[in-house]
Amino acid sequence: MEQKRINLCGEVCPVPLMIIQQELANMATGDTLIVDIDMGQTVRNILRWCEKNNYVSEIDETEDGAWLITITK
Amino acid sequence: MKKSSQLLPKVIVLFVIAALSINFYLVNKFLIIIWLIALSTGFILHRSGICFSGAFIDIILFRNYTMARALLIIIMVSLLGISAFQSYSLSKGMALPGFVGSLGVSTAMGAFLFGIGMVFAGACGFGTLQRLGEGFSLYMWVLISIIIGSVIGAYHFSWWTRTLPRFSPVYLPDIFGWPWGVLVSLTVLSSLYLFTLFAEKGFVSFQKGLEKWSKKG
Repeated sequence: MEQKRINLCGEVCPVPLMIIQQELANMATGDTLIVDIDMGQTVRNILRWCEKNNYVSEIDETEDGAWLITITK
Repeated sequence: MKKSSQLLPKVIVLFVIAALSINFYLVNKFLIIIWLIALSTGFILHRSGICFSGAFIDIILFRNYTMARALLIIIMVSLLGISAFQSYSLSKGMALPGFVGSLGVSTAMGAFLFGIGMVFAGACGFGTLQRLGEGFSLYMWVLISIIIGSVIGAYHFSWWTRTLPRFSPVYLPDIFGWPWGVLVSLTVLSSLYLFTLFAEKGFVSFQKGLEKWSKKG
């Protein structure tokens, strides 16, 4: 049950989702990836992608225009 | 995790909108229509998070056709609107509103250059404006680059269309007659829409088949 936190603030589409895909590919089932992100459009894409791949995701808007996404593989 | 409500900026923005509306109304009543359309377009673009470059990115990298379908619907709806407008203008003997452009080498080269810019910026024209409006300061540089590029493009534009080979313009209502030209376009667009549905399903079942096959092996 490892936990990893990455900061993707300032990255634009499609980079955040690609990095998340790579990170998750190297993680074991049950591990958690925490992502700091500030791009609204990509947030929707990430949540949709998680749903499609049956990963549990949680989202919290920490500030206006900045989100914290927790993905459990 | 406290969220700020941004009350002061909201009040300022509403005040500016109201002041500009009154100003536009006094200058020219037509301006206020354009102003309201612009405001609602901006609002819808922001809430829907629609993105032209995203549609292509999603198809190629993530095999997701959701945004592409949204774009096709936008094109179909605007096609109906502009066709009604054009046929009305023509039936009243007025000039055809809008442009009937033609494809040429310049189109392909322009698309290629625009595509490179779009990949670097992560957004097309209105995506840039939308994200800048959201406060993504990086897009200030993109906007400056768009302005520089557009000025250079406008300055050179006639050279591209004059020198490079191009097809003569095709205007479907001229070939098929009035309602039919529009119907042909709608048929093509809805076929593309159906194609995205099949492509998505096809890819998923292909992936599942691959998984099954790899599990067996």
